Amino acid sequence: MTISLKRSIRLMVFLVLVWGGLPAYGQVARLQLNNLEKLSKKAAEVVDVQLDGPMLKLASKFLSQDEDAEAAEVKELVKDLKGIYVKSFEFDKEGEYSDDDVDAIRAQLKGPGWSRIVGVVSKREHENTEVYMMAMGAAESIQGLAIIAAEPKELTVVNILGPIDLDKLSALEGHMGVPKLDLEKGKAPVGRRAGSPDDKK
Amino acid sequence: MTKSSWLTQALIVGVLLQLAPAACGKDRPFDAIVRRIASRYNARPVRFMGLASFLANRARPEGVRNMKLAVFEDIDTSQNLPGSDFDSFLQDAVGPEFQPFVRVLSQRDGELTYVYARETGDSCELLVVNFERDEASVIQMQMKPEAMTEWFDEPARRARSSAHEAEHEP
Repeated sequence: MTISLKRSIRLMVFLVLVWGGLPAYGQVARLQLNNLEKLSKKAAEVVDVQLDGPMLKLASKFLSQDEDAEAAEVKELVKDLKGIYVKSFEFDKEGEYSDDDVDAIRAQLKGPGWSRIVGVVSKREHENTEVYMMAMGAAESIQGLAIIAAEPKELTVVNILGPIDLDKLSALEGHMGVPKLDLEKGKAPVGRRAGSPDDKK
Repeated sequence: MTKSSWLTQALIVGVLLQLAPAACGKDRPFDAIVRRIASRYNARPVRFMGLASFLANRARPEGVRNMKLAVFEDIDTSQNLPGSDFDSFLQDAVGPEFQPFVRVLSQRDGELTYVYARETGDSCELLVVNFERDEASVIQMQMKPEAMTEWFDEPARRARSSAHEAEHEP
């Protein structure tokens, strides 16, 4: 085999590997929420909202027709996103989901690139809201976000893919299926990478 | 018949056969779901209004340009749990052109609603499949662009109400 042929094959192998790796990199912040599916049988209400690339483009297009400032902020926020996935369960009584159910999601958020940026526990209300961010690459650019909001009778998981401005995250509350989570109240100081849920007790 | 006229006729028939599926294609998922529900529950829709139907388009809910509706009654939908084979049954019927958008399951109301969406020029087309305890409906709606803002703002609420609005319009 000639040297130039070997080089060409190596280059082709390299390009195939890089090309194949690109979608995986883009999807790396996507959480697997299938383990929560079993809760559907116990839940009084289950809501699943799925907005991936084409749907977000549509959303961005239609929001542009709305002239109010809030819609403009939401539009600005979603225009570069790759996906918004929301799964929420509402139960008639407490104890219908277990820590194990939530831990299966938390386990995925211990992977490379993920860090918890907000952890709020309200002992009085028995509410626990955690916000995780995935940052990758030399510039630590944000690749995605995950929110777990656990209440005695409610469990919500929000997974956002793509670059997102954390300061504007609260603008998404109440839109695109993202429930109102009072993120503004529980927001961690800018630059803080990991918060302990006990901090806010 | 001469050989050339026979060939011309054969060509015309061929072209029409090629074009027919494309012309009907936009309604294919709606028809496929209606057929599948009919065969799954061994039932026929008690109300059926086509996209071009005068009635359907007079009775359409606000924000809807055109609508197609099929309603099944007196069927047992108790086995339609999400996560069962029902999700893939619907996704197969809908095909790749519609994107899954919202799914709402309410055990309280005994209701399960699936909403799929696809872009159509300046607006969007929604396919809503709604199951109640003994009733099912399939609705395909061509939306006015301004109506979509509300859908993206509150997808779950709109999913819950859209089937009822469409079914209960006069």
